Amino acid sequence: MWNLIKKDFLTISRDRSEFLILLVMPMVLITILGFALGSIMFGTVDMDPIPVALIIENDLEQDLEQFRKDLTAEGIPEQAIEQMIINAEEIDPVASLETVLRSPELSDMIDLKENYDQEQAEEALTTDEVLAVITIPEQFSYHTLFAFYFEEETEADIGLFVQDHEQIQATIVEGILTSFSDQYNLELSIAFATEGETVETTISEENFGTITHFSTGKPVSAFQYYTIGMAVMFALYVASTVSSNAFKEKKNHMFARLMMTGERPLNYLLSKVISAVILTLVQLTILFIASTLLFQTFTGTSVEFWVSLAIISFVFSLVIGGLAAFMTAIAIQFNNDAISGFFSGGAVVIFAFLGGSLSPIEQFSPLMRELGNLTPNGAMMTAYLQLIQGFNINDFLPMIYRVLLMAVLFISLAVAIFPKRRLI
Amino acid sequence: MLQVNDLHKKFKGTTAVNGVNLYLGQGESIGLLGPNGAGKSTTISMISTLLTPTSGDIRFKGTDVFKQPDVIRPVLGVVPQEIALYEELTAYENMKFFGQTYGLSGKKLTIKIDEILELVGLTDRKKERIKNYSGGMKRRINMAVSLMHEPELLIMDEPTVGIDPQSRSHILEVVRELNRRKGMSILYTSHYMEEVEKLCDRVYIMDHGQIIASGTKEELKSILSSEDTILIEAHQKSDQFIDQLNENGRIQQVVKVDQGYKVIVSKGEDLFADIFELANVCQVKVKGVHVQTPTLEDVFLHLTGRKLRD
Repeated sequence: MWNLIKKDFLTISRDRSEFLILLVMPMVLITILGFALGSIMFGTVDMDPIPVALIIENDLEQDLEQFRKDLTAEGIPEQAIEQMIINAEEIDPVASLETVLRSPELSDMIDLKENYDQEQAEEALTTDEVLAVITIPEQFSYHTLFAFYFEEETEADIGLFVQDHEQIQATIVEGILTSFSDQYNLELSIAFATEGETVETTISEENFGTITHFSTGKPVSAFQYYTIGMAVMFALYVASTVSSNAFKEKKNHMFARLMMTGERPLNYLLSKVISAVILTLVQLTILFIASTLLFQTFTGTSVEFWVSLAIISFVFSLVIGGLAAFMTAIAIQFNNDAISGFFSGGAVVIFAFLGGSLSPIEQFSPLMRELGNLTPNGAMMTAYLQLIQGFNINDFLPMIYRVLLMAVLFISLAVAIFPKRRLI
Repeated sequence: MLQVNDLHKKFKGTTAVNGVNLYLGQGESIGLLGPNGAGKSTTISMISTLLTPTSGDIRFKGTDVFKQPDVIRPVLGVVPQEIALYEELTAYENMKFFGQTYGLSGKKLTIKIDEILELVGLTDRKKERIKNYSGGMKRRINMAVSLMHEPELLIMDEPTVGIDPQSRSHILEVVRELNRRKGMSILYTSHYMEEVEKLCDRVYIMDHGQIIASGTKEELKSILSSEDTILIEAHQKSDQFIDQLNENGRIQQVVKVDQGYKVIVSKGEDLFADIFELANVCQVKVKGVHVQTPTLEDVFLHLTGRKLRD
């Protein structure tokens, strides 16, 4: 098996045209696009304020009254209750959130709209009138205060509706709410501690309510974007290169010669999977390292970042291996290499466009992003970009599982199609 | 050693091989002779277990090779008509790769590669990539790869097509040595009569998917014992002259050859006067007329009415 893989590696790496396509072209494009769009930092691009509907169903007075009744029922002295109610008014989370959203710092970013009820807001969301809806539900203040004072699990959730979670505007709004949540919890805990209250608080989102797991994404530079974009696009060519080489082996009778040595057909097919996986890994490694050395693309990132990058790259190379095997099986079974030609001549560009290699696809529509994530390169590009933005690996695990599933599917189809008896 | 019984192969309604029977004994060398499209390569592909027959069977040492391909594959070497080599790899790398697929490794592999490179006379060029080789050198390595595992049975499918005389002579020498000194059984297909005449003990003549004659060279030539072959040397080629010759009732067959025309007539027929007269009528300048000893080419012409390389 190893000699089959070594042979593939040698024949492909010594072919100048393949070397140009797999390594030189993506590097040239990264350089051109990176410099051309270098001034634009994805994530800090100038944009219009995001229209956000704020719906407040919460009534502070009613909540405080309810809270007072609970405190009385607990047998807390009247004087202490009065002090706690005064404190509660001062730390009202709804007022704090409104202050944040209306702050001058956010005025360039958020265009707050308050004349909607829930139904109207959801309608406005579908017509693009607003891009996010923040809903403060009834008894929100009450539940928050109750959770703090009585150390119980909160039932207070801020509702956030967005058009598409992967849209950059949605990410910004989600990020603002998360930051607010963290900051509010922290300040509240410190406030209690310094006043010598016996109530212990913990700094976690749970105290405030489960808003979202999103954190504010770090900006993605043009070089980072196009290094990933070109890497996932040109890795697709590895699949067609391997399958095209396999067809050449059949056409020039090396395949028949191999079969006569007693080599098993499925061993040969498996060698194509492994060859494509190794070639893709080598290609991605060279591109990422060269881009970092030349353009500081991933300079200063942590070991965890590189480990996650390696995991995504490995999964991606598996699906490329699957694709290579699938196309090899078709080319050899039907004695025609049209599939490799169609793939490298047209499908790669379509996949690259949908996957976002050429430009951020979510700018067109959320549907396009969804379509893009159905392509192996698109799904992996999403994972890579989320990694660069500082997301946790758990956030892009669904994309990894999706691509692994694609790899299994392609390999299974290849095994089913590949001829096991008729060999020429 | 090898028996082919009533072998048939059909492709989408076309019969490529139609009831072929042949056998090859241990240490024997046989030739399969026929024009392009006669069905030789299809027959070889079936013997090599790469193609399953529509009907019939092939037995190697008594075992059906389609039921148990592993009986023949490890001891079979096939030199394909095409250059089945990796152009981007060197000769040494190609031999190493195929040697490894045959299970050779380490010192045994290195020794074997050196030995075979020596045999085909390419030791000095072993580190060059195949794509830089001449056609003849490629053919020699094409054969060398098939010898890596010291096969008992070597099938050679037109191994000398389109190469220089030096490489051709080298290949023929190697084949002769493998057969005579090492006792390798050889099935040699070609449409070069002189190669088959030189190398093979017995010959099968194939046309349109069928064996139309078989036997030793002498046996086959005896088919023409009642006929003479006359070579008419001429500069020009005239269709009118051919038509005139064909109309002569004493001439059995006429065919254009490089030097002029070849005609087959019943033994002892005196046609010289007729030939010169017809040539004169058709304004063909005759340089000479010779009565020849029959060759396998003549046998093929007699049997099919065509030249081998038509």
